[in-house]
Amino acid sequence: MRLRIIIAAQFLGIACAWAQQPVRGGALRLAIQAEPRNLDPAQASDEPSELVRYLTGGVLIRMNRLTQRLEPALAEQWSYDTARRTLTLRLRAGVRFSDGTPFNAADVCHTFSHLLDPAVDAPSAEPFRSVKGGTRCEVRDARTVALRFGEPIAAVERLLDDVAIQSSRSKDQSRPTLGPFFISDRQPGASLVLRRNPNYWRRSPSGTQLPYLDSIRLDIQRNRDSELVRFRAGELHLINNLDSQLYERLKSQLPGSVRDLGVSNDTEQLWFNQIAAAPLPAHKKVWFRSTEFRKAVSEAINRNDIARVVFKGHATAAVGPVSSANHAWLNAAIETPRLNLKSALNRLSGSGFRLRDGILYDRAGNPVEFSLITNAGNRSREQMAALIQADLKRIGIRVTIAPLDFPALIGRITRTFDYDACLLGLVMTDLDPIAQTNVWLSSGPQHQWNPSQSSPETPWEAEIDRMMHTVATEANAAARKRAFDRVQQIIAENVPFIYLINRHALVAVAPDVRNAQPAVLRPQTLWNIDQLWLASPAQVPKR
Amino acid sequence: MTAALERRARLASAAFLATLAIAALAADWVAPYQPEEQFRETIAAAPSSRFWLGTDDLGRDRFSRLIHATRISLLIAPAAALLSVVLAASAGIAAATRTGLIGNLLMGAADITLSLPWLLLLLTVRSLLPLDVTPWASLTLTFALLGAIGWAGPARVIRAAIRELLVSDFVISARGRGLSKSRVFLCHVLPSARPVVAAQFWSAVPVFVLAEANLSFLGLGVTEPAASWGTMLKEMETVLAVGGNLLNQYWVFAPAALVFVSVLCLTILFPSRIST
Amino acid sequence: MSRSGEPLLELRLSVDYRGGSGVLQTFELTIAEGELIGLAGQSGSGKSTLALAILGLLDERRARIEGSIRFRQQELLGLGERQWRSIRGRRIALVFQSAVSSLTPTMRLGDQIREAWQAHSNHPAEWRMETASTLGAVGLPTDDSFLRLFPRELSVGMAQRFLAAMAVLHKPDLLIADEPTSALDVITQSELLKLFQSLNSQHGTAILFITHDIAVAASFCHRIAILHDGAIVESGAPATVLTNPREEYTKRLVSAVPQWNLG
Repeated sequence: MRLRIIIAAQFLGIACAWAQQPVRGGALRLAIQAEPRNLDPAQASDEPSELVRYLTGGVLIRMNRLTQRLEPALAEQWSYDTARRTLTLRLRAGVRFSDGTPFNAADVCHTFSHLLDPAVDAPSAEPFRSVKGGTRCEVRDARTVALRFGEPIAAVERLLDDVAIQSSRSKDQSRPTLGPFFISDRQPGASLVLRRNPNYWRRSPSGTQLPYLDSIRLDIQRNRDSELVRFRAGELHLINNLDSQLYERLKSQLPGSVRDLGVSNDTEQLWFNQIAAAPLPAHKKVWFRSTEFRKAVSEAINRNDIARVVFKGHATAAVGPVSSANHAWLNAAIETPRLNLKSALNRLSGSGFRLRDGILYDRAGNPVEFSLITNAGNRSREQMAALIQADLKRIGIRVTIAPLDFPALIGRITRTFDYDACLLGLVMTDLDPIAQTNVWLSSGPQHQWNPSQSSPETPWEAEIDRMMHTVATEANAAARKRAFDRVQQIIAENVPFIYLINRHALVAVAPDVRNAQPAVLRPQTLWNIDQLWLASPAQVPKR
Repeated sequence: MTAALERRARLASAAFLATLAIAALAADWVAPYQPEEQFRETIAAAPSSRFWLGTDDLGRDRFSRLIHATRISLLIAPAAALLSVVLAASAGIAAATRTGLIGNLLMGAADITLSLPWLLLLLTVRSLLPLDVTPWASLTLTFALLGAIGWAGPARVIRAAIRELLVSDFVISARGRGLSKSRVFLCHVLPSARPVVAAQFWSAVPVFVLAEANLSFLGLGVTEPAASWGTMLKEMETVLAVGGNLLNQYWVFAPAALVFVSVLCLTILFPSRIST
Repeated sequence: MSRSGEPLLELRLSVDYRGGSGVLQTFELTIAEGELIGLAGQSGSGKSTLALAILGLLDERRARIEGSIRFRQQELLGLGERQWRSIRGRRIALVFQSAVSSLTPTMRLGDQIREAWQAHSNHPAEWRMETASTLGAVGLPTDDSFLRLFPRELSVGMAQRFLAAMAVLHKPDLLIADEPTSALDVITQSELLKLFQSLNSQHGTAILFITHDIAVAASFCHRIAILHDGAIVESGAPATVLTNPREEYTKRLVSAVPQWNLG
């Protein structure tokens, strides 16, 4: 009898799924790895805060994470003037905040004045502030806003995806919202509950007001093993950014729920400390500043082994700063660096290094050895380091692996500069290279191998600076692409970063979640949150 | 335990530890492979005639690693335990015999040591260290730190034991026979305190083996590519977390079994209580 | 049996422990040369404190001691540790209540008795001969195999005799026996009492026999004193005290002895 009911229920479920008729209601549950540090959308700099901003904030222009194209959101239309110094946005009519108050141009300019306030120190304001002559927001009329820049500018509309519009009437920066949800309950250290915004502007093609979900519960769960266990028990609906080990485990248990979305934009790279003032012995600085030395190291590393052994095949050898996931910006002419020990040794002997009894010596007779720092506790980085250590031993270089806790690591690479080489990953949230300006400009603080230079120390860094200026200001899309292609070329030739692999984007989606279209770009499974629905919304997950 | 059984157990323990020590010391000859050699075509393999205990996630022979790990751990964990117990005994004895200011200061120091945020201090130590320390140097330092930290608890126990001994009948009797305080202390009190000190030592050894594994998380302790019992136990932890069929991967528990049996043998050979 | 009238030890003591109540309150007792005196009292009445006080072994950090201890006209209170040591074991010896726990468990018997001999002898090499005669006198073996034993290998009776042997090694003037018989069976107990008696008669050693068992004390002492709440409440010849106790406490103590047949 009971079996029959179950079968009947399953049929019902299948029938529902068949019909694909979205059901309104239900609570989506997932885990975040840490407490969001700041709920003010302007100040979000950590992944949980950025996720909350994405789920609650209304933006003027949204990038479709699947097509990687811009779509109108709160702005229906936008256009540049011919000098490309003004971006005019036409706002959607009749939009209300979650508290019922109307949305208009004043709110947009209020948002920008908060964002650009030096006291707020908003990370997402950096590109706007670095514009020569600054950025200003002007209200033209209730539905028209103009962003004016001190110099010609390009692609700035892409940055609006990070700017959640705040109410000019509210003192609370995180409420009310224009996005699909608002924060309704917060238990510090435990959970965050987001509730449906009853005034969300967007409707489904059939006219239903979105979102379908009543609420989203974000449980703070640092331990990813526990996250997996809870997913398996049906307590969580989605997992983003799975690591390859957990992915393999889940795949053996619930094969239907996991998806390898392919190459992501995130990179893993190794770089040598090229800072002139770094507290390192002079002979080490000579090695690290030698392009041939860096190229030899790059050629001696077996990237395919890293992808296969460490990431169980869920990673692909990296070409450079742009992964093959980014179709628009990849310089297809650059070849993936290949393992070539012979070439590596030739380069080294060509620059005065000598291999004797399995140990590499420099011209002055110093044995070549360096320490490689990485963040402790990150298993895949520690394993990568161990593989690199074994690879470089084959060309006579001794590597000491020094895992450091994260604050100590950051202290060394940003303040004391007391390190030889570092292995870290970079998360790329935006496809447009404009977001990487900090990394490539020689004056940039994230120009890790030699940050914050007062003037470029090498001709190739000077050329990158010029190309990045073009990327930031040129109107012509093809010209911008050419400039960044050149940047990729220079990086491949000079290897300031030795790019290793691009991780694949790995996610898990419970069968109950409908209309999920996970994307490589963050927030992966949640990018179309306003269109997700649950097949059985009434079912309360057991806890 | 009957005497005959006890003798046999002691004999077996001694034989086991001797074999282990010889294998560890002769690791370069006993181990079939170099411990850091990566067979990248056979990662996380099951035991086979080629790899007796299978391979780890990087394709390294677990049997070879276990032997080399034994050399590191079997030598250095007892050395650290010895250091901490020597410190503890000195402090405990001084605090028991010198009451008043010195005793109070020592026990205050022990209390502070017990309540210090050692994690932060260890992080500081790591940040002060050069990055290119060899695995051996890092390991030695780690255990020196453990020893330096680990004295406080045992010091309290030893102090309490000595204070108890100082008012025991045989100590008063000995003094009643006209013996000097120092002679009574050296020949009557200290030998009787030995079992307490020994117990502190033997309980510290396995604790230090495990503590070392956790310190590697802070970038202290054994670093790649070297292996210790601690790092090998940590591998077991990931297998446990993966939650697969453990029976299919029983060999992963070999390091744990080895640590367990070794500590058992040590306690059989050096019982912490004098049998009466 | 020598019972000269000369006082060997004159005690007038108050002892109290810091933070606790008084343990001995103006305790007064005189012991004559060669006297066999029994001090009876219930546990907690301060008997053991007295034994330690006479030997200067009370922990001076915890106990405050006032009054005087005159031993052969010499005031002992206030002596330095070195002078105390020359008295302990040589002039005044101690046999503790539990023989087994009074022997150091980690030392061989031979080492312990040699140490006891050498503590006060100018002829350290003679320990073997000297100890042999004493061990023989208490009925213990004197051979090497015995001296190699550890205390735990002795019976309780043997341990008590060994302890007694160490105590009388230097033929002390006064032996303080603190509950020496309480852990013994009746036969061993009587053997030990005989040993004490012969010590007393042969060497004129005065014995302060501290016990909770008034019957045992009465059976071989010249005089018994009753200790109650840290003071002597009654003293006299055994027969007088037992048959005609004046004090209420003594009456209770006497009636608590079921073995004693007054008839």
